[in-house]
Amino acid sequence: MFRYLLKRLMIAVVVLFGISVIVFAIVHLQPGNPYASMLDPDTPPDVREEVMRKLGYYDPLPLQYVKWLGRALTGDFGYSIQLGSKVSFLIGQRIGNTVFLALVAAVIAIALAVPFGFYAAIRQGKVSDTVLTVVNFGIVSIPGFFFAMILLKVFSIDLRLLPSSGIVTAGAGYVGGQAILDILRHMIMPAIVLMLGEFVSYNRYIRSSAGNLLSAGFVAPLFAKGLNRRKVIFSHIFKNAAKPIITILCLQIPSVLSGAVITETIFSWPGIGLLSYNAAISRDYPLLMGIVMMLALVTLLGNLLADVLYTIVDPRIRLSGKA
Amino acid sequence: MSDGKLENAETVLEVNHLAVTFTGKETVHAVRDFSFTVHKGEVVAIVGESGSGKSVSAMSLLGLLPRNAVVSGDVKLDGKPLDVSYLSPEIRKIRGRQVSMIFQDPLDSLDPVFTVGEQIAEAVRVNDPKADKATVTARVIDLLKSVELPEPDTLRRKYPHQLSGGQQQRILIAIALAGRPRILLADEPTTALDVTVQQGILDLLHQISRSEGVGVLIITHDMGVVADIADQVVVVRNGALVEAGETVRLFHYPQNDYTRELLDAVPKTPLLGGSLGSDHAAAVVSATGATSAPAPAASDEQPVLKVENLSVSYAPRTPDVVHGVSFDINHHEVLALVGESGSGKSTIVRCVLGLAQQTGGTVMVDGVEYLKQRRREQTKTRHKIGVIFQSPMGSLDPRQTLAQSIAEPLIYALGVPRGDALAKAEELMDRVHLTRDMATRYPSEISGGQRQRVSIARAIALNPELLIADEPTSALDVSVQKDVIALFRELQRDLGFACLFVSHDLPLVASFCHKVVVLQHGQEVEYGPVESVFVHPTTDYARKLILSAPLADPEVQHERRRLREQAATA
Repeated sequence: MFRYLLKRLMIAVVVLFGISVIVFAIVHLQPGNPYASMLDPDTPPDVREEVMRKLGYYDPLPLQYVKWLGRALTGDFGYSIQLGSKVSFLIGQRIGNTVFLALVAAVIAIALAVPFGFYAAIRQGKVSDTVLTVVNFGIVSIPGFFFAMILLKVFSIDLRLLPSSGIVTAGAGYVGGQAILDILRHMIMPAIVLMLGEFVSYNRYIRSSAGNLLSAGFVAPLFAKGLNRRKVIFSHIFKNAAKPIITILCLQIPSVLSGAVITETIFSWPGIGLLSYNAAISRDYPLLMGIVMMLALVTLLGNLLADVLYTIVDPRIRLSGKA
Repeated sequence: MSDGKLENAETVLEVNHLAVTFTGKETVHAVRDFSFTVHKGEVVAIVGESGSGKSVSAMSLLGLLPRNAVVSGDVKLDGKPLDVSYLSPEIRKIRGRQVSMIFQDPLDSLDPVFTVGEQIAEAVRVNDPKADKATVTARVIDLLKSVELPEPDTLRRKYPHQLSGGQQQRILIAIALAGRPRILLADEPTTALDVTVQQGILDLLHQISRSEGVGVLIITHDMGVVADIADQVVVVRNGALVEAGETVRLFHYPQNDYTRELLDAVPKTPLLGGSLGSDHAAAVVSATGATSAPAPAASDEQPVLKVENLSVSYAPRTPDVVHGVSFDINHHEVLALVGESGSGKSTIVRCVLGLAQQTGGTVMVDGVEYLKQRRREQTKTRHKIGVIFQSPMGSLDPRQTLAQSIAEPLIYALGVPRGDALAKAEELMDRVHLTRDMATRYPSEISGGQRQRVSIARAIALNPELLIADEPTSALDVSVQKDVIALFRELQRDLGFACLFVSHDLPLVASFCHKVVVLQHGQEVEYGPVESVFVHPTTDYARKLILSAPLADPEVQHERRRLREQAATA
């Protein structure tokens, strides 16, 4: 088991390195000079050249990469071109907002998806399952941004119940419980939009995993030995379903941190999604690289966590060291 | 065991006019009219080919069929009528208590995330919900002992995947016995197991029926298993009873044509006829002149396939799984590789085909070490080799018509124009006795036996010198298997290819092959002409393997069991 995890860890390191090379190359092979906007348009050409040289813009790409990698390994991703602050500072500033929103959405989505998924799997082919399927497809068919705009129209503009953007009411100066309530009010709509999208995919995934388990070879023998339906589902199917549930939970980790670009943009939620969107359109390379690498790291850690959890719930992995 | 004793035994299960119909888009009458009786302490075998409804009948008795199955019939358990309709509360009450069941694939039948001890304990608690922990554990250990598993206290803490196939099946038997059932249904309980393990399970089932007085209903397609264990046989075809009777009587005097057909389809060989002493078989051999196909005379010509001191591993830098195996095959000769699963049979085949890592020794086809040739020459040598795989469905492209599948090697290896190749494919279809009007059909539209004929036609399309057949008949019903083997013989006689035949079916090997290599753990245990290896095996392993293959002859099997029991008590 230890060897299995060690192997996974080593693979993760190699993959992370690969990702950094590819992303670095893609970002830096784009035409145009992103640093140009740092300087005043009136800067004399020789000064401009001097700054560029200092920034390492004329270095060969491999050298740029090695320099970047060396700093990145110490956690230094440089400064944002547009915002001027340290990349790590910018990410740190935004990540809390994103995690908060995404975590709430994900927890609700999973809390709903697991029971509904199981229910649909058990009732597969019956009316209740069909109804759930139709509802699922209905939700999937409405694009998130469109749904978000409808919510905005109804709850912010027509009913004036909820704030339309941001995370706190600017200038209100709430404190204590009121401040928390204020944040929650801002969060309701983006959380619902995020949650619904996630709910559908988890629900389908759990439905099919549980469905596979219900038709697994060991189920008929369980009935044959005299267990009732409840016992078969709640003790055997549930325990076997731990693996697919862990899979989605851990796959969820990176998306919790990456933030939903579209949702955050529409609701002006000051999170990573909004930050990376701005970094991408303004070609803020250091910031973009920093965000991408953080997400890559988190994704790999999520997978690694899944591998660790698999060894806990699946004796076949725990005891033989094979996946 | 005397017949008189059984006639007096009480009837445990009586099934009359059982019918199972699957409703839905298409109505399927899986079982039409099926009746049988099981007495206390008796083993009854239900025999039939795939699709005969034998498994469905057993599942219906426990209410394990899907919702769309309509079950009707008059079933009496211990003299009391039993309602077998869907979700009948009575059926749920008897599950695991009066009637229990074991299944074909033991690993698949166990929940992978619970220890085997927990799974047995669960069955114990179904019957005795108030039992405290210590009582349950004691009973679990008792059950493990009763299915003859070693070190029950260690074993119960293991997970299913840590046990061997035979051990897994014993665990399932222990689970089935937990409720002290009156009837044990066993659906192909040894089909997924190796022959040497199979015998142990059959002996255990036999012993349970005798010592615990459990009526055992075993479902099988294997006449050898029937001959070995059954007191009574029920033959079923297309969901209806064909013939029933006492085993020895039925084997000797089958009343029905279909029963006779089933029995005739079993490969017959005098070689495996003897019990422990092989003198009888030796006498038969000298009297009848060995196997049916005359072995080709030894000649000076070089062997088509010569394997010398071959070692193979699955992948580079992994330990060898085949160690120093040598054999050769001449024209017109059939050599069998036999052994249990994991013995390296298929690995050798893969290596000869260049699909596994050869780590030592030589593989010569027509005198050349073709695997070491350059790519272009290697391809040429490859054209001399035809291959047939176990699963005909898996080895045919579902999107190609039969003629396209057969024509493919002609087009790609010889560059024959498409039209000509398709015409040649039809000729090949004649050779394997498929009608030409099937040429435009797809693999999904034909039967398993026909698919295997297509694979054979494709394998002989290039007129190979060496034909490799990896378990070509083990996915087929016996009667189909018989026809395919007959075809094989005919083609081999006409085309004269050398054949490397992988099989675990020893009676088939004995009736069909000239030479045999016995493998164990990747080692060559024995190699020689079939007559000498089967009649006078020189190693214990080969002897054990040969004796463990149940023959479709109740007297031989009874004698073998008597000798085994004698040896065990001595």
